[in-house]
Amino acid sequence: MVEEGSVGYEFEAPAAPPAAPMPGDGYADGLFLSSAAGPGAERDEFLADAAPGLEPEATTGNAAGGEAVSELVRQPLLIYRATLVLAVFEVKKALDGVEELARELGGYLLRRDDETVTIRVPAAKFDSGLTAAAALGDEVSRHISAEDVSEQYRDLTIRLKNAEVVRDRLQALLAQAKDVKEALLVEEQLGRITGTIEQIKGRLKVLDELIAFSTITVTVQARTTATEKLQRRVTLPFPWLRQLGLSNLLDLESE
Amino acid sequence: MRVRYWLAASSVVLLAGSPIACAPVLTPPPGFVEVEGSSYTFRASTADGLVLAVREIEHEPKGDLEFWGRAIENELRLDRGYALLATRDVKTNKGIVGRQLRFGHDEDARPHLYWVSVFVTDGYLYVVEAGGTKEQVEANEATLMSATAALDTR
Repeated sequence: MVEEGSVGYEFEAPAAPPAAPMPGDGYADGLFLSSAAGPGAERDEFLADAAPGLEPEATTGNAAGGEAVSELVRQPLLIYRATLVLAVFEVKKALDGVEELARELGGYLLRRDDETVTIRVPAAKFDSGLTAAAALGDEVSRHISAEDVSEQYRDLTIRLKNAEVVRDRLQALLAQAKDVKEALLVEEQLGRITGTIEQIKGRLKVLDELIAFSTITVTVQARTTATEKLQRRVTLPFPWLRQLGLSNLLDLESE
Repeated sequence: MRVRYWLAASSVVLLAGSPIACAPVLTPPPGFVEVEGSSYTFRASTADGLVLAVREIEHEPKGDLEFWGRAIENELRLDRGYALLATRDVKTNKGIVGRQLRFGHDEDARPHLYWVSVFVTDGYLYVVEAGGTKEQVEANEATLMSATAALDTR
């Protein structure tokens, strides 16, 4: 018998750690960056092994649970991003080189315009990719960031597991429904939770992708405003320095 | 008399702190023709637009070769987006040691090379510039190096 409101949304509560210890060892040890099967496979394995007794009700947080979950992620899940600014020569050649580099490393081109190219390369090849990209021009500046998404990933994983448990219960209740009214009520709840599950899976997929593939953006600008903004220094009081350059040299009509 | 004095004084003021055009510092290499009427002390071009030029600048305040080389590098590389392809030591036929910075840069989406050599004497800085399309500069490297070495410093 399903009573209105009895099929709760405990899974919607802020993702608190479960009371029971999680089977986190395998998950943590085989973390994404070292996993040949990829992060998605790791997550599925983790979910398959997850404590079968995990109940939505267990999502009320407590200190012990927090410690248990802190064991879950021993290594940080990091999203690497890098931006390179190159003083350039042969812009198209440099941009083509970056694009080719992505393919060589097993990555792919994300976007490209006249002055900027963004590629994604396997996280394990982030360093070598960055070094190779920098070698394609005269490196003026580089910025590297590593975003730790361990907490976010853990929360989403727990929410997903809880939602799936609730879905299974609803499906069982649906099978036991005594009349149409009950069935409709359960189906409504089932629809909502299925939507939530898909949403969480989508977010996890995006994180998987961002963790597995690092982003390298290379900006190459021949007559740049970006490098000026990035590299503005003290201007030396020697006007002739500002007169240097090809545009003045090659303008034979100038007085 | 007073007018003549005023004219002489004005000329001195106008010339101070700017490239000085007086004694020839370079003669046009074969295939080049001198182009007058610019802020350069000397400038010459081939018919195809490969250009060689010299700025003779009063050396005040004083700095060493390292300083001026670095100042040129920063100006072009960091502020203008020129790619520094190579740096090398050069020497004039008179034995003045200089620094040559070889830059690459795209002009109108075409790759160009731009070489800037700086020589330091007590009285003057000499900045020799050579530039053109990549093909022009590469094809005339020997001529440009020879012309740079022929720089006549004071």
